[in-house]
Amino acid sequence: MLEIKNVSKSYTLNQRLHGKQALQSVDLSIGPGEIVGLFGENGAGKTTLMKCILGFLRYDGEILLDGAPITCNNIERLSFATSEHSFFPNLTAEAHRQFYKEHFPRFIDKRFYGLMEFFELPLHKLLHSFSTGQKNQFEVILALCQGADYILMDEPFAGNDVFNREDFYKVLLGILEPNETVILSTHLIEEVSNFISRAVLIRQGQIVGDVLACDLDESGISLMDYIKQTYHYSADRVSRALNDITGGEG
Amino acid sequence: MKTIDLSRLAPPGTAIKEEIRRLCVGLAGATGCAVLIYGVNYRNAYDLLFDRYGVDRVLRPDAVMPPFDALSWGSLTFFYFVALGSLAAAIFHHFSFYSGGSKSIYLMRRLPQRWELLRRDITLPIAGAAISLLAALLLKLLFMGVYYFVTPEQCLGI
Amino acid sequence: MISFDDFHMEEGIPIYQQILLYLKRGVVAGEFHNGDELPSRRMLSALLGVNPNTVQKAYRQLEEENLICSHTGAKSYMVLDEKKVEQIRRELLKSDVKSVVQSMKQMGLSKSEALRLIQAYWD
Repeated sequence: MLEIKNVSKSYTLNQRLHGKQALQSVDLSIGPGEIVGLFGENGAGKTTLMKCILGFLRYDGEILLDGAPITCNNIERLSFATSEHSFFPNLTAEAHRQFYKEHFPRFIDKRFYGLMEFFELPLHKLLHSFSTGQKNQFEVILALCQGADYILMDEPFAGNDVFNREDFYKVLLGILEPNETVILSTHLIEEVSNFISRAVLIRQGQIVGDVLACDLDESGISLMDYIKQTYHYSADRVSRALNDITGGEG
Repeated sequence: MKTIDLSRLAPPGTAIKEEIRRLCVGLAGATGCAVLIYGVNYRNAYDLLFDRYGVDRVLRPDAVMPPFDALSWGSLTFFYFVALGSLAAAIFHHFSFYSGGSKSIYLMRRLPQRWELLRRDITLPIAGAAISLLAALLLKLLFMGVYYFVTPEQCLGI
Repeated sequence: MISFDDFHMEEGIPIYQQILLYLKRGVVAGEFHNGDELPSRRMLSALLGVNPNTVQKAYRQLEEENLICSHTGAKSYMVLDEKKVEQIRRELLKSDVKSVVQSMKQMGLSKSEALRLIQAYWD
């Protein structure tokens, strides 16, 4: 269970002075086997949240993995795929497998070779010679094969065509074990609405929505409509509150 | 003899041979400068010990060789530059390595092995600096040897 | 193995219901028979690109209606007999007719107009 407890993060002094935060009192619990879609506008805090989970950023609050803080002792249980890419441009795919294998003993060779073959990616070419789409695919493959229990993906498909992406969702659904959890931040709402089991909405550093896909299904509301409703509701709240606060003045 | 796998001491994919080559060029240059500077200084000082009478030369009775430090001053400076330069450039190069085009720093900071990132970033630069300083020391000893063995004994500075 | 190649997802209807309908229509059409094997939950979820929970919901409902039987090892088989097939047929017919009647009513047709239309288009 990944528990995010009352996590807040300010980036700049300016932000602090104006009471704005990159993340504000975020509370979230994600259990094994969930496929969580993380939605929000640019700058909403999706990437910041992931970086806090992975320990790249300092933050206020607590993030626990099965009750323990995230340190080098359990960091191998988290993997990360980012649209910025985190591989070594001057190594081949095979060399990456060796590097990963050495540092993450639970690396899954079989899955790696299977996915490389399915997506027709070359094993012995240097990564910097891959196309953007291929780089995205390889980045995701590494995250999937690390042997992690919680796979964090930050807009992993920026630049891939729709057929590529559909293939990926399907393959993912086929290979994920019941204990593997995926947290996927994306703008492609309609595409992933069938794929995810839970949708979490972030707006200006706060969680404004958290709903199970099957509950949405039952109520007959589409994910897109839910998101629209929630955002609209939020904006309304803010403008109403502002009205109350400033209404008496000039 | 067990060979050390240098690729484990630098960021993955670094062109290590190229970095070693640059270090060697730097060292060769520094050595050349050192020998040149000291050589000229020593040669001039040595000549001043003698009076010239046509083709012959006679050791002056009151000739004193300037102290070693005065003659060698400045000759080894380039080694310090090479050492510092290699340290700074290599560390900078290694750290920026992770940000261009692909942020592999995100991978390095996720490794269960806590010291992996540090080890790969500073090992070769520090080794390069150490070799540089060692070479400077050896040359200094060599120059001292020349000073004490070549200079006529009665001219040696106190 | 029951094939889902002809399964097309539609908007507006929960996917688990669509899966149920697809299987029931197939049964009524005589394409799926007693003892036919269904894809495993994971395989179907990957085939259709939908979350395994959705497939699980569909399969669980099928089990409750005694239309499938799941063994250990993720294999599920259709459990059908004439009586059940007939039951499903009537069930589907009922809901199909209901929705046609509903849309005709929405168009503002009277009962006699509707019946005349059906007469005209029956042959």
